[in-house]
Amino acid sequence: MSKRDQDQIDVAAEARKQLEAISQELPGDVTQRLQQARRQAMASVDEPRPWRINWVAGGALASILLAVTVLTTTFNATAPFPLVSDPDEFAAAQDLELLEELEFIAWMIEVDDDQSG
Amino acid sequence: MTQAILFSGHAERHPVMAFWRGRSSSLGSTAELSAFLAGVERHAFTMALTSVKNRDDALDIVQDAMITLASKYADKPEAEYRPLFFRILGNRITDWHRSTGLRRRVFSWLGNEDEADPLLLAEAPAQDSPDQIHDTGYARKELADAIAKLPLRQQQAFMLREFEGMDVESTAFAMGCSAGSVKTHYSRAVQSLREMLVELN
Repeated sequence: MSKRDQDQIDVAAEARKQLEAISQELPGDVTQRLQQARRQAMASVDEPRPWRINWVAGGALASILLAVTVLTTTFNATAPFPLVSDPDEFAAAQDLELLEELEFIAWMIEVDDDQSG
Repeated sequence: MTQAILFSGHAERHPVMAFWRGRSSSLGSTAELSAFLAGVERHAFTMALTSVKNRDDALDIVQDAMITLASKYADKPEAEYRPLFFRILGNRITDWHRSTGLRRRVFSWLGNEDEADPLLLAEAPAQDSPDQIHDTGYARKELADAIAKLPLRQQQAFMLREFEGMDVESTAFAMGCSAGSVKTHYSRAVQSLREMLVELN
């Protein structure tokens, strides 16, 4: 090993030793600040993180919503005409409407005849 | 299929397995994280202080890095804490240097070069240097100043490899570069330090 390489190794080792000494001799107020910073960091671990989505629960919920939507749409699409309690009544109501329309048409014809006549 | 996923090493990539693994490990991760931060805070502060030469800024940088690690990566495996934390720390130090450099350029453009900004690296008061804080000898100040004068990437490589004792792969992750780049930065850092110290002595 060359002297230059050995010098570099020695410099690196000395730097490490001095830096280690610095880190072990920190003033009291600095160590207190570091402890406070650590406590604050740990407090942030327990804080709720609304932006994090539990994707498994979210996927399950999305699947349920999709199924409900599909089923709801399907039932609405095949829903029959509104049920009536009495089909005869329904038929009678339909006839009544037709009768009223026919009467109106007859009246219209009569009015036309009077005007032309 | 589940067994194949678990034993094939693909558990981390299978979303369901990764989810349950994360959930099960998170129960003990709070204590592990706290222990990790307690063990690393002194080194982290020393690294930050050596680089920025301002005690309050160094403390803010370390605090920010701790909070970021805890709030975003607490559920990671314990083995990932160290490279993650020092990556965050390195980014914060880099951001500090960028903003300081920008401030210095703005002040010089405004013609306020003579008005010393206490936060500027060049104007850092002597009491914030590692030497003044610890009332140490001449050699320690020389070394700290020499490390601070290194280019940022060389400084990071040296501190992580030599001071923190991280291997090349972990250092590469922390620095966001390749293993080869780490080796290059480290060797140049050591060479520069030697030349600076020889010149001083």
